[in-house]
Amino acid sequence: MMKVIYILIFSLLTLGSYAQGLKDVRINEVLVKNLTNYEDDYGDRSSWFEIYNTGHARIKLGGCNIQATMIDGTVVNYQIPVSDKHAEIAPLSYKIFYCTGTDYKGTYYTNFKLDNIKSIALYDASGKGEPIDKVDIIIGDQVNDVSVGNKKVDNEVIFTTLSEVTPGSTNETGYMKPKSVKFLEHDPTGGAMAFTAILVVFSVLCSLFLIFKFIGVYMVRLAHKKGVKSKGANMSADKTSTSELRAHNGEEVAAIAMALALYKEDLHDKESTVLTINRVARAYSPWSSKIYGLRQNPRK
Amino acid sequence: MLEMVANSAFLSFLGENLQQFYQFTGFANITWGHVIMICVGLGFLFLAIKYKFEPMLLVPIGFGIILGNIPFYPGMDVGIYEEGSVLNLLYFGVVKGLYPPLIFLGIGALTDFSALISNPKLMLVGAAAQIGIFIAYSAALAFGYTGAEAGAIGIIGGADGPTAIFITSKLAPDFLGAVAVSAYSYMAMVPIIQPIVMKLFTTKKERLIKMKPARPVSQTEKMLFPIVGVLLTTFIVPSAIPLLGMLFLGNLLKECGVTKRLAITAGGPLIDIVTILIGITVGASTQATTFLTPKSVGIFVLGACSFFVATMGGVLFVKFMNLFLSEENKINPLIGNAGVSAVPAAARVSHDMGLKYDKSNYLLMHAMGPNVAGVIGSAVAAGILLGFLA
Repeated sequence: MMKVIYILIFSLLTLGSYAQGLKDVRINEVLVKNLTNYEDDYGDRSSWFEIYNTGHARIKLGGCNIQATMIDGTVVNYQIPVSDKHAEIAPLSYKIFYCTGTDYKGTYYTNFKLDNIKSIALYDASGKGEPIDKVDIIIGDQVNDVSVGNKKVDNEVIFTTLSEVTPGSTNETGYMKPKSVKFLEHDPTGGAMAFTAILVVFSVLCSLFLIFKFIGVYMVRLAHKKGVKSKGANMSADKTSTSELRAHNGEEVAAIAMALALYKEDLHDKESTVLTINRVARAYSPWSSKIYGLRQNPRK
Repeated sequence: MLEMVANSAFLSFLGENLQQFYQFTGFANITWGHVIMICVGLGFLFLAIKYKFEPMLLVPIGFGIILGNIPFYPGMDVGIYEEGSVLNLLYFGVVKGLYPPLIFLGIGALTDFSALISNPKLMLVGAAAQIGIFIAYSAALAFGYTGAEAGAIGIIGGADGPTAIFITSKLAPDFLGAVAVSAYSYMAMVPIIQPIVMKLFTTKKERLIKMKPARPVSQTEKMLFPIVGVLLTTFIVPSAIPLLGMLFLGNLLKECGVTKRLAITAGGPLIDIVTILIGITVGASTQATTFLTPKSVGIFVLGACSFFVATMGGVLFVKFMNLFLSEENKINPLIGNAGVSAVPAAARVSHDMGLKYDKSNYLLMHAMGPNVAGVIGSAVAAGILLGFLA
């Protein structure tokens, strides 16, 4: 029973994260009349639209539906093949769909064209309910090689005519404020930065502290356990050595070690005149063997 | 007669060439800025050789300052800012942030985290001392520096040269020389600056606190530390991966027991080579024309404030912790200064100060805890600055 509950929870969580991920996808740019602009993988120029993943997670697109509503009201649905395991969009990345009406060409080629388009909508795998994103296109307003797309105007994102066609990249072609400038606009005194950063530094080191506090306690217990075991085994022999060890604290051990080190150094100085003769042993190796050297007389 | 004409033509030819040669010499191109900077370089060498102030760093930096400020005729492809010159190629490692992670690898291979593992609460001291970075950041903003410049200035308070260079190369490359020289100067002056702050914020009774000896740390714990450390810190602050990743890798090489040769290389020849390269190039990047500006003066002033506040933060936080600790577990606030990293100079200062007030109070190993925690803390703080501002 518990296993079923776990599986259900896991499935719900997975579905939740999938749905949450899809909600980050936007239809970002559409070029209806492509005469001299971007070419597809076959070297052809066709209408295209671009989707953008605004989130920080990789999103699988397989199974999602793209619905094109034409001026006469007909709706054409294109389902991105579920079988294509590579149909996904990376975080903060773009994907271009070519509206050629020839979906046999590949995953990113739709079964509709944009000649009489009224709107394009992106749906999840069910293809029902509220669309994830939808854009309306007024076909009469479309100009050759001029795209429409999302653009920030007065701090508000609107779907409008773009000054440049930017397939696979941001629509904001003007001056981009550096991150630090944007941050400064919201935090001119640096107070928020100081507070957040100190909080993060503390949380990182606090977590390390807690983990190693726990590990330390565990290790001390383990050592104690081992000590008790060995004590049981050599009760009589251990009695004196344990009490001897306990008698020395860290400082005494350090002092003894220092004394030994000094003694050894002195010993070294005094022994500088002592000649030590070691037996020279040459390990045999065919690589170093003189037998194979050039000093051998060549065979006649 | 012909011979005389030939001789005079030769002499005028020689004269012209000598004049041309003179135009290429340092004497023809010298300015007061060059003289001042060469004196600064000589000052660094003097401090390093005479007083042994961080000689491993100040000798290459000081020499680099002299090299970078030898006046020359532009276009000879010898200056550090001249594309394709040898110094420029070596400087690539600074600009692209290549050297600091390699230095961190070496630091990791040389550092024993036992003191920290045996008393993990000292990690919090390393965190508290990072306050200097962010106070200096706010102060720099108030003085009109941009956000990125303020971030680069603030990191001086971390008292960690490689981190300061890494962050500045990403946020404000123009300030690289000033920030690096400032950071290393204050690190060299740790024994002068920190005791003043430590005395100011502690009472005599507090300075006499004797800390409990640290428990012995098992090899398993030592091996676990870099693995847990890297997972935890880099998952929270991925922008610090180059620094923390290399620091913990170096430490794992040392502690795992099966990569002795790699640990010796990382903590020996590699760190030495990179230290020489980083020192000489950072020093040479302080060319008078780019270095001697009012902004550089501001960097030095704010850097000093940052250092002061960081030390104060560490000391005061220990006092705060003591409010909650039992009598036998109390921490001597003299080790609070070590939270600013500056390994191991800051820990040595704690030790010396401890001995000054009680000849039997050995604080070195206790101070090494916050000291190495400070290295982790400053790298995390650097990651946050990068994440927010780069």
